[in-house]
Amino acid sequence: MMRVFLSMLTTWTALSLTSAIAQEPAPVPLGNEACKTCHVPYEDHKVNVYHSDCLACHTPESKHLVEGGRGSVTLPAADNCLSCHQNNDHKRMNWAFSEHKKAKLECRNCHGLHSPKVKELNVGMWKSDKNSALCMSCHKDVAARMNMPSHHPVKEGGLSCTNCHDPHSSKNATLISKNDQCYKCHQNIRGPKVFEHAPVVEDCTICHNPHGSPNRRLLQLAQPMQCLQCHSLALNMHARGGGGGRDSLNGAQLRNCTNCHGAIHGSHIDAKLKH
Amino acid sequence: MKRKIFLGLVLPSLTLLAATLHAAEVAPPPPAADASQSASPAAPVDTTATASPEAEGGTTVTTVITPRLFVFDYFDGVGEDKTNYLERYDYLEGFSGDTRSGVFADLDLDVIANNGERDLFVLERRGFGEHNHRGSAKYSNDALSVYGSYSHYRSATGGIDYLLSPDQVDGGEVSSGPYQTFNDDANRYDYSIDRTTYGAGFKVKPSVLGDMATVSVDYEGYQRDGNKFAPFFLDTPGLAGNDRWRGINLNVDERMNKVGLTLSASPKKMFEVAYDVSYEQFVNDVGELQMERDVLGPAGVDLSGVGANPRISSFFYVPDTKLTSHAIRASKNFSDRVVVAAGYGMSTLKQDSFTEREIDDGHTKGQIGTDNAYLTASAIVTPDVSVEGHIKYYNRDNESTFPDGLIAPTNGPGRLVSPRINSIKSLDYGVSTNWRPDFIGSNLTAGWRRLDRDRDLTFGVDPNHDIQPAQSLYREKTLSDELYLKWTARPAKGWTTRLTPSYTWADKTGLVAEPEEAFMLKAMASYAAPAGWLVSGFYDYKHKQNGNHTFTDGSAGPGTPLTYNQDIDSTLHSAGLSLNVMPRDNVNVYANLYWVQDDFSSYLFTTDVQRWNPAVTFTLVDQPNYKINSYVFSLGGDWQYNDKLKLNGSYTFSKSTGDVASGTVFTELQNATGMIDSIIDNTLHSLSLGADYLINDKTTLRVNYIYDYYDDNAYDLLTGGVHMLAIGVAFAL
Repeated sequence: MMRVFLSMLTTWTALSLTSAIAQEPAPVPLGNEACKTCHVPYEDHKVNVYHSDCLACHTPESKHLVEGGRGSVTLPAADNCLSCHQNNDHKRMNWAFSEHKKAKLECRNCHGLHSPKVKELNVGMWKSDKNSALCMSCHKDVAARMNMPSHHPVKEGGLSCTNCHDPHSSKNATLISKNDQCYKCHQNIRGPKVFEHAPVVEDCTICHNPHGSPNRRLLQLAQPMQCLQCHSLALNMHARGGGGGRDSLNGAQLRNCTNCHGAIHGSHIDAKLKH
Repeated sequence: MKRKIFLGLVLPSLTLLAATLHAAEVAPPPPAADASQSASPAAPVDTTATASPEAEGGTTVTTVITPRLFVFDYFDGVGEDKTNYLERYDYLEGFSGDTRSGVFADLDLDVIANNGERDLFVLERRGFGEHNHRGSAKYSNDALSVYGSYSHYRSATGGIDYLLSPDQVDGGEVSSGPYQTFNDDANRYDYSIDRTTYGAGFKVKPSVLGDMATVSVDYEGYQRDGNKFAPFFLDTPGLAGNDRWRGINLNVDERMNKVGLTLSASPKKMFEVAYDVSYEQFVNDVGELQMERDVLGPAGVDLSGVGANPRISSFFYVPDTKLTSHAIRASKNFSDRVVVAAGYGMSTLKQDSFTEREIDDGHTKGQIGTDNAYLTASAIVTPDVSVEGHIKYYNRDNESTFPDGLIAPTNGPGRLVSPRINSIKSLDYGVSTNWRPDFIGSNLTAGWRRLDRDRDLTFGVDPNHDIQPAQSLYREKTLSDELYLKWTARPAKGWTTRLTPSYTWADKTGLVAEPEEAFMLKAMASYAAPAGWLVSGFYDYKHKQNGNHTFTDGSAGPGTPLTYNQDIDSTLHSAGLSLNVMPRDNVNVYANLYWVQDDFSSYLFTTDVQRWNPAVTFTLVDQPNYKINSYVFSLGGDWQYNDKLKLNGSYTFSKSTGDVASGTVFTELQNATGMIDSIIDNTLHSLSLGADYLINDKTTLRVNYIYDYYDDNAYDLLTGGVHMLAIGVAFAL
């Protein structure tokens, strides 16, 4: 309760200061008055000084001025946007090779040019961030995986799609490896380790599906199948005793391999990754 | 904990204050009057407009503050001492500290300061209780942008791990041998980990730097703390068998701080270039956990028969590390006909702390170096044809020292159970061409790419004690080729279809998880009707197999050594159907159906002794099959009932079912634990209902009700549900 009061108090103080500042009016951009005679709502949706100049991005045909209509005015293509947004911008410098561009997306498909693209979230996604909600409006398969028993908590608000994915980049023009993406949050796994586990070094997605899985810990396959594709089972260690030795497999050892090999991502002391 | 709360509450406000001061230096007036939150993009009806902006002078400040009261109740699940399944991603706690039912409050806040020409300042906070809240603030003008953010989130997946530990599951142990008991030294049953992230930075925009460059500085960090359940096994000589299989409560207390500088420039707009440098420090504040001192000693285990070295063996050690990285990238557009991009990066990861055993053995350098580069180019050959080529290089070097006592190939039994990975060098290159034929709006891309990967591996040199290449499935070379086609067509207005087949074949594979042969097909069709309806469907198919890797009997085994092929076969089908309908201007309805089937098989091999024993012989036991079907159906929508009331809701049904294995593995798992580990059979129902009621121009009542119920037919203990009611009032200031 105390935290809520503190939060209200600090933000309230800040707000009071904000609203107390009176400012000088600035000149109204030219060339838009004709547009605003019809497009009244846009007057209220300026998110950037350059976006309030209609003609900088739109080219109306002459009939548009007379008849109106959606088809008689151009919507800005990515090239229009990039004429301003690519220069000196390291995040968009490789848009030409990006997967989204190759899928024929334009900037406006994701970015609201006059106001935020996503204004309000459906209650089913109310804890999520708006960027993720936007991504999932197209990537339905990923959205579905986020409802599987094990998933990264995106719809719960724990992280965002853009924590891992750069929508402007290209797989062919990036210096970040797949594992580097995971290590941005999972530094405890990256090592260096004295005893490394090959798939951990090679590619996290060999074992994990980051979007969601029916298996615990985002595993691609449930244990022990995940492990048995690469490993044989030594009966002298992994079987039930019978007489003087161990000769048959037992479910207790086949359950979760990581019940014993707990340091599955690498160890500083144990070659068999048991601790 | 207090520090995190302080950060979470004060950071946005401090940023707001800073931005306010900046805003005072800028200016502008005009109108503007968008209220707070209105409709979602899918439902373009104006809804619960709650604010009228506060305009003083020229800057309009729109503020919506929404305090909320939450009431929740977990039912049908485990008690408070253990983790409820639904709690794993949604940890709720009432004012009284009760985590099963209670009441708590939180606050959403939205502030936008707009000068009529741009949003100068945006602040957003979202609060869902003590364990899930976040905030961000950004100030931006022509010269500068400044931002700050934080988030705090608790996950409790470790508690589910505990519920599935051997002694929690009937039959989870065997009747004899070292696995007959599971020594639970944890002394707690509920596990959770908090992650608090924070970031801040600024960007100096081109207008300040002669329209030629941008400079940005970014800081990010996190604090991760809590507890996790950590099971392990000991086969240390001198320990009694009953003391080998254990689980402990492992503290987690980690910090990461990273600062980066990026310089971007486009000299005379001739080309783009960016240089990034970053320094990251990761600190693990949990000290080394040693076998005798910290784990087995306190548990009362007799270690008198154990040697000195094992006594100081570390458990789940996570070292402090530093990562420095540099990258330079450039791109050049030649008259919109040719675009070339290139980059080079390098990083060094250094281990800063070492275990006592590592130091004793002289291992004082843990270091991973990487360097990578790419060159990509595309060219428009004719108005309808373009080509693209790329080449990427990646190198990972393990530059650590490995003294004899620790990991030397000749050090003794089992030291190199897996080969040491000295380096991995990867080259990925390919070409593609894009053609836009004059046929139903088609766009066709055909391409080829090759992956060429070389590994430098050190296998042990002692055939009596170290695993040898013939007994390992890990190989040094990967060489694979892929041919792919992407065809997109717009056969009629509103229609889009996409077909993407690809075929991969490999002469050599490094791991069985890499495909020796793979075929993939992605198909999608969508139709957007003029009335605003949108229907789309897709089907994806992926089949891959690898029979390229073999085990061979040891040289000292009986008879002629035999070779056994591992055979991996994996088929993935997935399909989906989506519908978005606006039956009336004020109603938006969506429905999504998704199905995925994962069908995987590989051989199960046993050996009589461990693989590093030269007498090892392999036995092909079975070909178990993992086959799981998952279905997700969701239905939802928004309804602007009248000028004052907006309703929205969603229902999601998610089900996963199937056997995790067939044959011997399935039978043995069933014999041991019943259904718990042998099958997956669970259903999740999620119902969310929301209502926004406009009380007056400045006040909106917001009510959300959430109902989740998880039903697990494999493990009843996980079954349970939760109700939550959130009542908030949004005040527009």
